[in-house]
Amino acid sequence: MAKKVSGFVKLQIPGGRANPAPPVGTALGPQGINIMMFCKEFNARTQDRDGLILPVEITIYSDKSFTFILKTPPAAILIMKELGLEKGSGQPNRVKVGSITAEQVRKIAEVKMPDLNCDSIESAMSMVAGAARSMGVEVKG
Amino acid sequence: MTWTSLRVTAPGRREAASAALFGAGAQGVHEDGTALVTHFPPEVDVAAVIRQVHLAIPDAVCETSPTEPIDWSIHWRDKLSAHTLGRLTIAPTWLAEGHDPATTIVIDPGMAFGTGDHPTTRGATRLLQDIMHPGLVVADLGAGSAVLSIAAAKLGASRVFAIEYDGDAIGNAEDNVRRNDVEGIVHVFEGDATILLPLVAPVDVVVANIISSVLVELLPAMHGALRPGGRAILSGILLEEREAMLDAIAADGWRLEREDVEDVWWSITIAKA
Repeated sequence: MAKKVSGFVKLQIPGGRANPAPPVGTALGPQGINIMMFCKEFNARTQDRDGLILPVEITIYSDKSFTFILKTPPAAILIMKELGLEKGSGQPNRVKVGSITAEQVRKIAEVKMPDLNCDSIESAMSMVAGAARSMGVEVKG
Repeated sequence: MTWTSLRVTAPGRREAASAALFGAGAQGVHEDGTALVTHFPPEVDVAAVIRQVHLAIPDAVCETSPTEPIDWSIHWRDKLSAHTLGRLTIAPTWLAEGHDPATTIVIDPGMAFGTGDHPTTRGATRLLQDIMHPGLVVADLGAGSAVLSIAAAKLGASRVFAIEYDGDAIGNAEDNVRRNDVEGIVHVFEGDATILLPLVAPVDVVVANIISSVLVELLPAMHGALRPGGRAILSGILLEEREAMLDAIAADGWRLEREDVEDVWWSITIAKA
C-alpha cells in the first residue's frame, strides 16, 4: 500500500563505495533511516561500476523505510573519464582542455540516454556535445 | 575531529561543479537545492579544493562551515522510538530491553519495511487484538516483514502461516521470526496466496494487509479457508475505497464486524454472512 513520503535526498557517490561518513551520513542520518543498510544495498547494486560517480535519488517514508533510484553518471564526469581529464576549463570559450570525437560523444550519449529527456540519440548527442563545450572540450566531427 | 562542509553554488554549471569537486578529492556530493554540498576531513586543505573549483568555474560561490563529527552509523537510530499498540509494543532491537518479550515485537528497520509503524499495520494489529485468543490458527497474506504474524503469535496463536509473494522479503520475514523467538509458531512460505491459502486451510483467522484490489481478488480464497466462526481482517484499504470494498465483501458473502480508521486508512474485521 502507499506510504507517506517524509523525505527526498539526492546524492552523488562513487559506485561500490558508499559509507556512513559525510555526505551520506549527514544527508541520511537525520532522516532516521538505516544507513548501514543503505550503504550495503547501494554498494551491492553498483559493485560493477566501482568508483564511477553515480547520482542516486533516495525516497524516505514515514515508517523509515526507503527506496532509491540510480541515475547515470553526470555527462561531465563521463567526458572527463573518456578523455582522461582531471578537470574542465575555467574559461571554456578561450582555454581548451581537450577534444572529443563524434564517436566518443555518441558513446556517452548512449550511456546517458535513459536519464535524458530526448527521443533520439542525435538529440542526446547534442546535449552531451553542449556539456563538453561548456567545460572547454572541443567537439570534432 | 571537526570536518569542513563545503557548499558550492554554480548556476547553470552544476555538472562541471560536481566534476570539479570529485576531481579535487570529494568522496561524495549532496545535491541540496541548487547547491552541491560535500565534506572534507581535517587533514584536507579545503582552500586548495576551492582554488581547484574556481579554476574550473571562476564564478562559483563557495561557502565553508564546520561539520560536527557525528558517527551516523550509530546515531541514525536516535530518531526511532518504541511504540505501543494496545497490549503489544513494537521496538527495534536496541530499544526492546526493558519491555516484556511476551508482548514485544522486535523489528529492526530496514529498506523495504521500515519500523513496522505504518497506519495499516497499526489498524490490523488493533483489530487482531480484539479477536485473538490462545490456540487460534492464523494465515497472514502478504506478510512482508511478518510483523502481523509475530503479533498473532504473541497474542496466543498456536500456528501462523506467513505467506509472502515477494522473494526478496522472505529473508527479512524469517529474520524477524527468529529475532522474536516465534519460529516454532510462525511458518514463512513464499508464493501466491490464492494457491497457498487453500493448502494451509482451515484457519480461524486470515489477516491481509495488501492493496485493496488484491484484497478483493483474495476474498473467495479467504472465504473457502476459514473455519465456521472464523474472521478475516483486511487492511491497506484507503478510506475513499470504503464503499467499493463494502460492495465487494457483501457480494462475496461477508458481513462487516468492525471498522478501524487511522489517517486515510480503513481496516476492517469481516465474518462469513
